[in-house]
Amino acid sequence: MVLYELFCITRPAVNATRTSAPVSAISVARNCGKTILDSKGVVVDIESMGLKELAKPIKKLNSKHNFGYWWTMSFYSSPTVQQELQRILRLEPTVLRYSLLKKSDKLNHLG
Amino acid sequence: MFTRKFFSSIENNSRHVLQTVSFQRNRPFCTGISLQAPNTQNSSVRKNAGFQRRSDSFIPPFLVPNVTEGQVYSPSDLKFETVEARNQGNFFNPKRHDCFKAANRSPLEFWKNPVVLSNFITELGRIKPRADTGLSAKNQRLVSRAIRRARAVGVLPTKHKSVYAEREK
Repeated sequence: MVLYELFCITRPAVNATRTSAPVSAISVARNCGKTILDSKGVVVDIESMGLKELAKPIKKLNSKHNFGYWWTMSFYSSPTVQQELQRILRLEPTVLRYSLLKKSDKLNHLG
Repeated sequence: MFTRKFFSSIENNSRHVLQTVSFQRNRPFCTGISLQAPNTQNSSVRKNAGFQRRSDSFIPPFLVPNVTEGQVYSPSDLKFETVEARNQGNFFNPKRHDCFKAANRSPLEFWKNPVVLSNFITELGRIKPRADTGLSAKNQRLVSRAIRRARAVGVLPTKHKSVYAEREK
């Protein structure tokens, strides 16, 4: 089991404010979490960093976004799940940017 | 009135600053001396009270001798010439203050944090060299890696500082 961290920027809803619930981020996180749990992984932490102005306007599927919802998810899983996760993240229209990082192998974590 | 010109350098930068300072003869040499008796309640709590610098009593660097508390010193340590010689030696080997070492943290933890990373990029968004940041070699490499990672994900802009960066007033 390897500790990974997924950092994702999802597009906000049309009338989204700083405090409104991020519907698309929740659905993406739920999909990813289901994939991880189905393959006997463990989701450690889901942290939301809120609605933030993007570094530059991001264009996806003929629409430009200036604001995005940043969130992070740390989880333990096997390396074979990463392919599935990346497929999900690439096919989702609401995901603007994502980054999967390996935080540590189990042995490093213990030591 | 007594004036003295002094050629001093700002830490981590190789800029020359010509400093003209005047001080009056009747001002005490060392300000903020603790006048409490040794056996009072608070005498042991603030041990360095006599050497704490407060905002209203700024002592220019050419007046601060290289003498620490409890150290034996000679009259020649208090001369202008010795202080100036030591300060001019510091011009060539400036003390590197690594902020990540002081905080005991790795720079890679801050790759999602555009506020922190913007301190290490110029106004045009380029990564500052080690002479400007004052970091150790390892931390400079990790900061560069964090900045490149943040740029790739869209956390940090490429051509300017982040909107969330700290601004100078």
